[in-house]
Amino acid sequence: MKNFTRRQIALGGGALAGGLLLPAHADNYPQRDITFVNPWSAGGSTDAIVRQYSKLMEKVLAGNINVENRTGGSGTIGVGSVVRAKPDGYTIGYAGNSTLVYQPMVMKGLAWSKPEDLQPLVKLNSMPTLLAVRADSPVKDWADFLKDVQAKPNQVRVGVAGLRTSADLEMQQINMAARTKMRIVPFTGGSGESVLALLGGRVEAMAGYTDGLRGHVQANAMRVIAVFQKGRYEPFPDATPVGDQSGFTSATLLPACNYVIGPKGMPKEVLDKLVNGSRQVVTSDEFKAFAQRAGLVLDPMGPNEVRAELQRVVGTYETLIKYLNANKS
Amino acid sequence: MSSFDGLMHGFAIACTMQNLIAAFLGALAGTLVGVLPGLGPLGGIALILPITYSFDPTTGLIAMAGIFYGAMYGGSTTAILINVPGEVASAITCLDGYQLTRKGRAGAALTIVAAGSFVGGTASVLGIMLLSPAVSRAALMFGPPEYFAMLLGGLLIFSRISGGTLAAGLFPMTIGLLLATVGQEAVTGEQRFIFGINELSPGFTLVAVVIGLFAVAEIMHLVATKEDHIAPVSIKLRDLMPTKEEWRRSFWPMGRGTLVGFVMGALPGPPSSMSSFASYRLEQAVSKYRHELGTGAIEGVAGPETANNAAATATLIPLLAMGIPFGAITALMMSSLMIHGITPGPLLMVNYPDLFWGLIASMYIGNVMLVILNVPLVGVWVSLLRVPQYIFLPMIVLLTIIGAYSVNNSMLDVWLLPLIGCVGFILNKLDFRMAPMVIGLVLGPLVEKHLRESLILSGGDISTFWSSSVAVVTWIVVLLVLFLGYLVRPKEVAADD
Amino acid sequence: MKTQSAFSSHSKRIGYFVTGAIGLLLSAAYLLLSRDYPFGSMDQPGARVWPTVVGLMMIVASLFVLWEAWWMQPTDQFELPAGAGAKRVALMIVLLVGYFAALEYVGQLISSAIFCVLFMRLASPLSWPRLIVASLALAGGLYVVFVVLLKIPLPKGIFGY
Repeated sequence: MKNFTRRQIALGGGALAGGLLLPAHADNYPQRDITFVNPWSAGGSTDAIVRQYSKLMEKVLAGNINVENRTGGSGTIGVGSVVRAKPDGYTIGYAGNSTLVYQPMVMKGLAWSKPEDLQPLVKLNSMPTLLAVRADSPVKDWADFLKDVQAKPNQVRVGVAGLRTSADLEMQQINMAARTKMRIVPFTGGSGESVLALLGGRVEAMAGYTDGLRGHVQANAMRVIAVFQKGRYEPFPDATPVGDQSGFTSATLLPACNYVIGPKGMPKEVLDKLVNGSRQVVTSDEFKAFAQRAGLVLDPMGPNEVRAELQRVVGTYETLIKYLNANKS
Repeated sequence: MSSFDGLMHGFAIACTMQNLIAAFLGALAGTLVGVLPGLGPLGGIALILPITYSFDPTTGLIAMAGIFYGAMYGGSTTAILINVPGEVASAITCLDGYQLTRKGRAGAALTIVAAGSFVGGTASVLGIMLLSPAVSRAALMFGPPEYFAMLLGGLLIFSRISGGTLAAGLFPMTIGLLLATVGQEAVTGEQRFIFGINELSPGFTLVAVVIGLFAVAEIMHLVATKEDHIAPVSIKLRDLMPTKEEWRRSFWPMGRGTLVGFVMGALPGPPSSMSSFASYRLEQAVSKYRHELGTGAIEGVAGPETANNAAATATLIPLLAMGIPFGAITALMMSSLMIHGITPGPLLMVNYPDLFWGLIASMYIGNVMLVILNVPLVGVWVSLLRVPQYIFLPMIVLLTIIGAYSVNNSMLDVWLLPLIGCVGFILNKLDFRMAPMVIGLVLGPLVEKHLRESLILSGGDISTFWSSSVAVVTWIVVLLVLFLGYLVRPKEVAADD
Repeated sequence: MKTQSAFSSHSKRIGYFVTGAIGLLLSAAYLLLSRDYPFGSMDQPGARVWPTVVGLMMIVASLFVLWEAWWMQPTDQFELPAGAGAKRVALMIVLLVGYFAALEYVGQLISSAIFCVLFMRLASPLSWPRLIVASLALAGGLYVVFVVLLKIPLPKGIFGY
């Protein structure tokens, strides 16, 4: 009798301890605050969409989400912390395709090297790169610009906000595809600097995204002459869709695509809740209204589609890197 | 809408119950956030951002602006009382502010800070109202070559910021420059000097270094000497308030501080955290009592803190007048506007007059609120000094650690504290000055950035550095200041020794 | 206010010579290390340009330090903690290191409480029971303000605090 009771107590105690130490049972997920890692600094273009997503996810999951900014290394520090986190569903994060696919090709020692090393949850949006010139520029449209660049190798300066961001990579792609030699000038202080450089006449054009340009176009200080995607771009209907022109296949178009990711190996129930919840958020009316206001192009995709999309970009980036290395002085 | 009409309209909006409460809570939260070392206005604004979504954009912006300039009030409190700078801009206030506390004049210093911040903030709002178009035009005249001239000049001019011998300022400054190069280099993405430690990729966190230099070094000193209290404390009103003499001496520094702060805040190039340093340097050059700077001269507190607030308010100009955010804080504000569907741009004033004028009016009100809030608080802060040191010290240590960690959620910053603290402690004993190290850390990367941007833009043509008239004028001003410094110095040096 | 026995005097001149020498060594090492990075070209300056400038500036600054040391009076003194004071500072550093190491494992709340107890023991004559109460109050209070009220993420140890 005594032994039996002791064993019962031991088992009971073990179960109790195990219950305390094991990760939360998926049925009650989320049981505590979820951390959402934003690898870019507070207030960047990413900030608005990250916070909007978190706000809506909180309602869907009936839990609390804390947005944390962990910056550095072109996004690799924040993304790295998500990939390395415990796969219990309490750490997820935001990542763009340039950080996910391009950075491991040029940086050593990252926590992931291929898209398979992490778990995509949903695709949030695409931001096509835009090309803008000052309102009084003699360049009237994309055709003009292309002629200009081809006639004056190494003289036309295009400002981009930040090194190896999608805008920068996009313009390098154009250089490669159209065999032009645009001088791409990275401004490292955020989009504000490249806007100022364009307005001040220090660069002839700039490549950026909608949020940084719209106000200036409205004020007639700038014109957007090209959008690097296929088909018309609603916020700027007059911009030439470069993807529709011959010589620029979709392989050369690198819109900035943003995803929500998590570490590999999350339990199925947790993963399902996250994926389904995200899908709900991204297709909700509220999110759609927000995207419309902010000039974002929504492109809801589930994990498998995201994986496929990331895989497609791998080839593009590899070619681009070879080109960049070959042309490094 | 004329400026006057706009302002009246703005006051109508700013005085709604909702907006008044938002301004008050923002200012209060900002003050508290500023007092805490490490956690700066950025963290505070990021915390309340989700809350602002449920209210209309004007209210949200008012609250965020409140936190921003409120933090500039609070940041100097710990700098003065316990030599712990709340953020980088308050580091220079440690110099004379802490000495004033040791002389028993903590209350007076804090009151002057409150008054100066009010003056700087209010004058700056006036500047926003009247000078925004001029500032926008000026901003376009400055590009990388011009900023290179300005910031390199600043580096050289500020190296003498705390007096002392040439080496006493130059040597720590070069250490600061050196430390600043560690990390991922912004233009080519090259990781410099990180020795494989990925956490170093963003570089040394500025706030952690500043806290380590000033706070930790001082804590080490206090532990070594084991004094009973940090300073003699009296809470008689007479001692809490500045004397007539102190008010008189603060008058011109406040005026100069306002000008310096406004210019440095409004222009996108110079970091607004350097505005307080610039004001201190200016006082050193022109003030009648400059020989007292460093030992507890009220000018060393009045000028910088006024400049601080003037600059913080002026950084809103690029956002409001041009729709270009510079710095993370204004970027957050822009992001909040965009969530509401408002696209900031040059037409903001025209398309959203409610927002623009409401914000401006609210900033006037906010500055008044802050003064009313802070002056009574002076007594509270000063009485905190009566807490015995053995409770105070661990509290300060814990606060600084929490502060350092909270910036980037990185343990690296925490480990940095004792390391830099030791270095700072020893250098201090040898009479080297710490402020130049902060300047090297802040301005170094910017000088490099503008150097390279200029060369990339000009295609390697070195004449770009003197080809525009603005650049030439800037170089001339820099050289003049440096040489005038030489002429003025003989009087300083005699007093120093 | 200052207890003189907590410090001992040393020759400032030697201090400056040592500092200058360290500065020169540091700049030399720094310039050597920066050889890893490319100079780039005039129109695409590389990552090595600025460090070279900084290294040179540091050499100049170190030379200035040595220059001042040369002309300094041999009687100039500076103070470093000694005796009881030095022991206290050394102990404080050890405590800090231990505290940081413990942060990741045991979490902020517990590490802070333990640190407080030991630090107060070091810095004050209070008895153990009072120390423990004061430490718990301090660490607990800060925890409530920062982690609970302000929701600032701080290291959580294996116990979740």
